[in-house]
Amino acid sequence: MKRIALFLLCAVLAIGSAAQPAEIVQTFDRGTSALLDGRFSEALDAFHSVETAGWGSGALFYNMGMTYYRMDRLGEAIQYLEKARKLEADDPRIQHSLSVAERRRTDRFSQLPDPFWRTAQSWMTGVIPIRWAFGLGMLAWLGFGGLWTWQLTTGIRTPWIRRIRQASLLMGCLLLVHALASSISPAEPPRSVILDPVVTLREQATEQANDVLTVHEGLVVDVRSEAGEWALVEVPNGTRGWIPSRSLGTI
Amino acid sequence: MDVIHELRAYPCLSGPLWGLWAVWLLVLMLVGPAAARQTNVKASVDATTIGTEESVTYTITVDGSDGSNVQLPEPPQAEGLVLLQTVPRTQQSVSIINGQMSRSFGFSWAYRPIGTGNARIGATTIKVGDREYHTQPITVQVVPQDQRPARPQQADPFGRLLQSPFDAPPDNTEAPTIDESDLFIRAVPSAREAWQNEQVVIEYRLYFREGIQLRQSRLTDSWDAEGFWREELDVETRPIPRIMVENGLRYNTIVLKRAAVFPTRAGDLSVDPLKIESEAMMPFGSRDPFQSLFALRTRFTPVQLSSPAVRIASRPLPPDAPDAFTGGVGSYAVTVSPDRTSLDVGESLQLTVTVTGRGNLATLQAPQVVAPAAFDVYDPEVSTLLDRSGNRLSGSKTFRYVLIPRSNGTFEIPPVEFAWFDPERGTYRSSSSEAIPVTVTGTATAPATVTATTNGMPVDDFAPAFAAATTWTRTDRPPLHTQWWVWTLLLAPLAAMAGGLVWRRHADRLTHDARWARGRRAHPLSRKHLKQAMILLESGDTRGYFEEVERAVMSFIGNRLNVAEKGMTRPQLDATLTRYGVDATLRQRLTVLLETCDRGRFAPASFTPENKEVAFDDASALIPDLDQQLGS
Repeated sequence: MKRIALFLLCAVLAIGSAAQPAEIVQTFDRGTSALLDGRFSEALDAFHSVETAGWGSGALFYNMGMTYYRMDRLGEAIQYLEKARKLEADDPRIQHSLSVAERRRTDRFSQLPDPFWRTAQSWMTGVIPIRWAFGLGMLAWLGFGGLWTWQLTTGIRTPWIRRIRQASLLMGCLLLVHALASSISPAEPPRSVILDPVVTLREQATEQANDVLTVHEGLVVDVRSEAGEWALVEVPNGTRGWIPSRSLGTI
Repeated sequence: MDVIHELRAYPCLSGPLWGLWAVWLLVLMLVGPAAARQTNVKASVDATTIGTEESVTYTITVDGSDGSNVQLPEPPQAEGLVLLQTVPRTQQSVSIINGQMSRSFGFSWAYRPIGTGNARIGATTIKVGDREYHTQPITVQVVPQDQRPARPQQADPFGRLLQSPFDAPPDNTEAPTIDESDLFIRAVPSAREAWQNEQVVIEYRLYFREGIQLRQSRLTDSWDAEGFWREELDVETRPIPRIMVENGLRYNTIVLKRAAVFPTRAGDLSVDPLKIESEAMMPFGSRDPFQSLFALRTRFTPVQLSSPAVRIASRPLPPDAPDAFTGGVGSYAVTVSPDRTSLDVGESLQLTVTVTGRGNLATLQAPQVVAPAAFDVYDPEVSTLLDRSGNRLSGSKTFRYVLIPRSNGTFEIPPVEFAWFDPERGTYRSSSSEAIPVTVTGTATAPATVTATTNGMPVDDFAPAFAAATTWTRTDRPPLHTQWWVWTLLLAPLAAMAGGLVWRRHADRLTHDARWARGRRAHPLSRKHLKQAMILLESGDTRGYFEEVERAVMSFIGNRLNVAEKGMTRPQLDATLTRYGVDATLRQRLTVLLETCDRGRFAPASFTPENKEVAFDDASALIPDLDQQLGS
């Protein structure tokens, strides 16, 4: 039984981490060197090849945002800085540079407050990331199932085992519900950045529809739904409208 | 509430104004050549309906002339009227409005009616300079004196002088009344159709007959124009009336209000009427010079005036607007100028974009300034200067952008493009400035230009790039809830618990239900004994073979019925099987088989190999038959 528990623990911990290949690190270093030398296009090529390979980090996205900013592409700069903040929310460099980029943004909207349960979910996700919550929850859940089955087959019943079993059940349910609920409905809804200099929000997903609002490059919007080549977005003050998906950069 | 200054119609050449005549002549001599304007000739009468005891004054007015080049015309022939004098009375007027001077010169004749009915003053010809002008005939209706309509007294000393001394004094005991043809407001829009956000100027003119005086005039309702952006234009605070002829009648007119409106949406839009309340006085109908002089029997009466509503059809702008279009409609010109083109890193460069022209400058959006990446561009400071003095709203709007370079080098500020819609051409137009080269010197790390925040971050610039990544994560992972192994792991403990539960119940029954446990073992044990019997048979142990065959059958019956089969006599066995419903034939087959087994144990030599196998076959067939009849 001890061996099984140890195996399960190792398997769960392995879910949240995996070693990155050395090639990724080398490509990132090459891109950073190009950025510092002012060869922005070359830097972007290197960074994008890392991203395309399915790897990401706060440092990678921050350097990409900085490269775009130096190339005067404010929309993409804010897009990648927001990506960096998602991975490393507390990093002061990311926070500072994002505020610098946001000052160049044309649009200033008041921000609607999030519902309390969204705030709580966001706090919980910050404390325990989704995959960690799932791993620990599965460990507790498997422990509960193993203890219960073992007691059934052996007939051994002691108060301590019962308490451990109940605690495992409670912990497992809480962590798994949090992990799966956050996976299905994330605390932060899908967000995107306006990439075009000027974009008009329309009442319907067609160019002939009436105008709702004009927004500008760099504005972060929530994506509520998508239909073909159009996306229904919500600006921070709650106004909704349709814009072409090609004008958006996913965070 | 707005208050309009008291208005007064100035009669031409009334007695007290003779002194001003000399001043007028002086003014005319001073400004004469500069005031030459387009000549316009009009013929009018002071009333189209007169009493049989009244006279009518026929006037030919030459606008744009001081009379020096006007040849004295012949009085027009009249039907039903008698000319009172052949030499016309002349009059001259000068007005200066909005800095522009206009002059007019006139000839007047007086006619008296012969009788009631329609009278007619014929056409005549007047020569101004080298050109001849022809007037149109005018019809005057003559009614009995007691049926004549009230009309303002012509404060005209010549008219009185020309009056016959034998004329009977008119019946003037009733105060005259003012009707809509004497006093009204006319709204004159510059256009009835306009593009969205195009400028339309609406002018409200007050028309009043000569002699009518107004006082204490004020707006009664707030004037509104829903669906329009509105800008007031300047009008004279002390307006000088202009003489205009409408429907053959002479009116004094002044401009009450002038406003520029801009449709903010497409569709049929309406501007509210302009309403004023005032007190009007019409001089009494008497021709008594003393009465007119002292105006003892005149009085002011309250009047309410309203202009008609103005309807304007607004058309939407064409859809093919250029990217640089920010909503401007009108005629514009753009200038772009930097305050310098050479500076150090961290210093500011002010780029001034000025848009000048006619249109709605108040709502004009700032043109986009795209600076090189090394520059920080701040929101522009905007100032607007509107000129409301003309007949159109015009002015300029200035956008001052501040650009701060963050690195040195030679840069080029791209051209600033401004686009607008030209309503006269019906197309979008654009203007683009020249690219501006800028040289930036110095270094970004100079202490004078770079400072740091309290946490060590540079002001208004990014923090340094990350040299290395501490953690890497997979970004191409699908969400947890979409992966099959997640749900498999979740269900695995449930499956294990279900299996354990089933196993537990099975073990409990084996422990506590002996009948069920033996019944479950009946078939396996009988098959085991039969298998052992076959082994013994093949080894040549006939005795052992028959013992195993008998044990297979008897152990099956004992386990199946949960009875002790050992030591059971044949009658007891028969009785037990009978009690459990086994028929006689099957019991007989069992008896025969058991007797065969007994014989085989005690006299094995009497069996051939074939006979031995028959016992095995019988036992194999008997066990299922017994199981069937014993039921559950």
